[in-house]
Amino acid sequence: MKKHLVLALVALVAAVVLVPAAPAAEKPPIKIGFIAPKTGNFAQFGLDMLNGFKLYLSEIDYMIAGRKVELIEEDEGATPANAVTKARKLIEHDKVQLMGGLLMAAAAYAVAPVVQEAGVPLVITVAASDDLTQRKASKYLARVSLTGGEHGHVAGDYAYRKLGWRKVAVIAMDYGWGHEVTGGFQRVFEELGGQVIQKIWTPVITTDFGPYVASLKPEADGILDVVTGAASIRLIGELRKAGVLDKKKVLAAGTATDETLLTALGDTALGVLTFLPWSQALDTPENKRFVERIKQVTKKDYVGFSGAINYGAAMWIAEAIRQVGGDVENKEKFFQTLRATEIKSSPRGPIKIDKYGHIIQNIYIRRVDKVGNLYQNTVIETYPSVSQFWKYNPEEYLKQPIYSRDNPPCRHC
Amino acid sequence: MDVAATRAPMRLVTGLAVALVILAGLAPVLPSYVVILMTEGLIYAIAAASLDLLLGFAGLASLGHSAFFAVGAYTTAILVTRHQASFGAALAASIVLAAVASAAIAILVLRATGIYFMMITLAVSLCAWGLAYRWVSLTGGDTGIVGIPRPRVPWVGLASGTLSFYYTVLALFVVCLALYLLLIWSPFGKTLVGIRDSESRMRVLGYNVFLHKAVALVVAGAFAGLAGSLYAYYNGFVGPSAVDLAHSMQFVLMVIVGGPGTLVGPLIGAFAITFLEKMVSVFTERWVMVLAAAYVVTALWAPRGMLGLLRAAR
Repeated sequence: MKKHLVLALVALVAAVVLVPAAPAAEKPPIKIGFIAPKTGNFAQFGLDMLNGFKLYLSEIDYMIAGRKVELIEEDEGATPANAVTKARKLIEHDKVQLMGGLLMAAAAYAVAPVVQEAGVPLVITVAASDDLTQRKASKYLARVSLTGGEHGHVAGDYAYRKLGWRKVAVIAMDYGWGHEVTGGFQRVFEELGGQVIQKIWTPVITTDFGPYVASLKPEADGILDVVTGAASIRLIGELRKAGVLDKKKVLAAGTATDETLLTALGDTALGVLTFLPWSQALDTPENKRFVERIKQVTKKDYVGFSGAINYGAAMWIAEAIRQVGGDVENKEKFFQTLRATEIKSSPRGPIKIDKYGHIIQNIYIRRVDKVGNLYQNTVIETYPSVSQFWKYNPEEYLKQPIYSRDNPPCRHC
Repeated sequence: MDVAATRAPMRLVTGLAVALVILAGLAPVLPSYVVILMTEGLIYAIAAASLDLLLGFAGLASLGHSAFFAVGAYTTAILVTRHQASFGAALAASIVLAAVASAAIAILVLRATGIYFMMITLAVSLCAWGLAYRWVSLTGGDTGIVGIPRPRVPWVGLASGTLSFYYTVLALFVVCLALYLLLIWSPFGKTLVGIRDSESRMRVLGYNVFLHKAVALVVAGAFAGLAGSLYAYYNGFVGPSAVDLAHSMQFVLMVIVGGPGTLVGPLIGAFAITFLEKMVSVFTERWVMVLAAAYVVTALWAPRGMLGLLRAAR
């Protein structure tokens, strides 16, 4: 009996493993593989990503240029190794013609060589790892999300010119996003004449920010905060408790006050300034329409940033496919189109791609306000058409090493 | 306890030979995603078998085995991406460094026995994870080390990189298997089993129990380092996830689900769990629950693992 059970199980597993993908009739559907975290730490972001992406696809009835679109979702999980395996599965087993998604920067860095080897285009819709569209750029990669460096540049400019800061203390998470935003900020800020006087790197899993907040140098005019996700709730809470938010201003990377965190942040985050390429409160007809529709899907008051940029990403991918008349099998033509496709208006604004595969977009400065019962990131300033290279010449820019923990070095610490 | 593996070596060797022929022969006709999973299964099989040497044969329930796996993985990653090391050099360095690490650890952990041994080995793997995570200049921290290219091996006449890498791993797997078998059939191996069954008796009989255990740890660590090196090539990427708690437990579970103390059991366990994990996650988001259910069923109804089930049914 037991023996038969074991054999039956083995047979079942074997059958599942060896069943090939069903053959298609007439014009086969366009297969898009989408990797987003459905389980683990970032599951909420992954859910937002999928909701945003699928909302656009459902609005066009999953049809682009006369062909059906088949979206195959895979779970990125919480580790990049998972993303690599799923990417391989999508390429080898499902034979997707295009891959999208990816949240973790490390996952994007790990998956990039896999898609390059297989010759499948990848559209990164969240992961911010700078180098993928700089020193590691390739014709197979396009990114419609953001980089740390470009946000740091904007923040550095805003801090010096508009906020009048001259000395800044930085508290940032010790990983790619934290390094790259800080690096970009320091470069622009110090070139304008400011000084970064302190850099505190916090491990990604920090739960208690008390000691870090206590060590912030009092002579700083302002704080640059690059702590994102749920940890941001703890940090901003500590900053408020220590009285830092009353005396100085905090300029944070916008994912620190993402709409999905605003309820948990509550009143502690009021007045915090942030920078990001979108806000739920962005006052354009396109955005208002998007917000209404996605709220119907999620049944929540707050719309996460991941949802908005993935909606824009789906719009852009669909446009690129339309431009090749649905002929995604013609790879060379499709790659060229991926670089040339432009969207005049999407929930976040216009989308254009530079020759390295990265988006040129508006970055908004926002402030956390309370309007009625709800919190929002009010847009108070717009930096239009920001390039990932800021105002620098790309070739000159790329000669320097990537922003990291030690680059630029902290001369005034 | 389970000397069946040593009692009928001819049957075992024949069975393994047949399995290897099937593994080698089927690969070109299988869909390439399955070949990719089989490659992963083989890598984990090497690692799980090395843990079985400790857990099943020597009675040392080490919960920190992923630490040596990670030493091998990171060594290869660093040597290949920063120093352009060749396949042979990276492999050799990974094995040696993992062995050195486990020798150093052995002196520390072998002072404990039983559940204290489990605790201290667990602590070791968590320390390794902490190092991987915070020694950013060496390990890349949370981002890890990316862009590890496939090894250059002169296999002639194979169409795709997937297949040639698969055969490379299979070849190393065969070598490891042969070494494992020689080890467990040798007097050294039998002594380990004796130590597992009754340490005091072996000591009374005049065996240097500490030395045997230490050597077992070093050998197991070396094999784990080899598996780690292949893992780095397989993923093209190494991060702290290679040495986190979940990964450590995964090795233990592969051994237990397969059948501890049988060598063949953990090989089956490694394949079973690799395929289960990757295949189930295609069908449901709740794949972790399915995996957990499989573990619970094993613990309750197949405590001797899958191999134990097969044996009992015979």
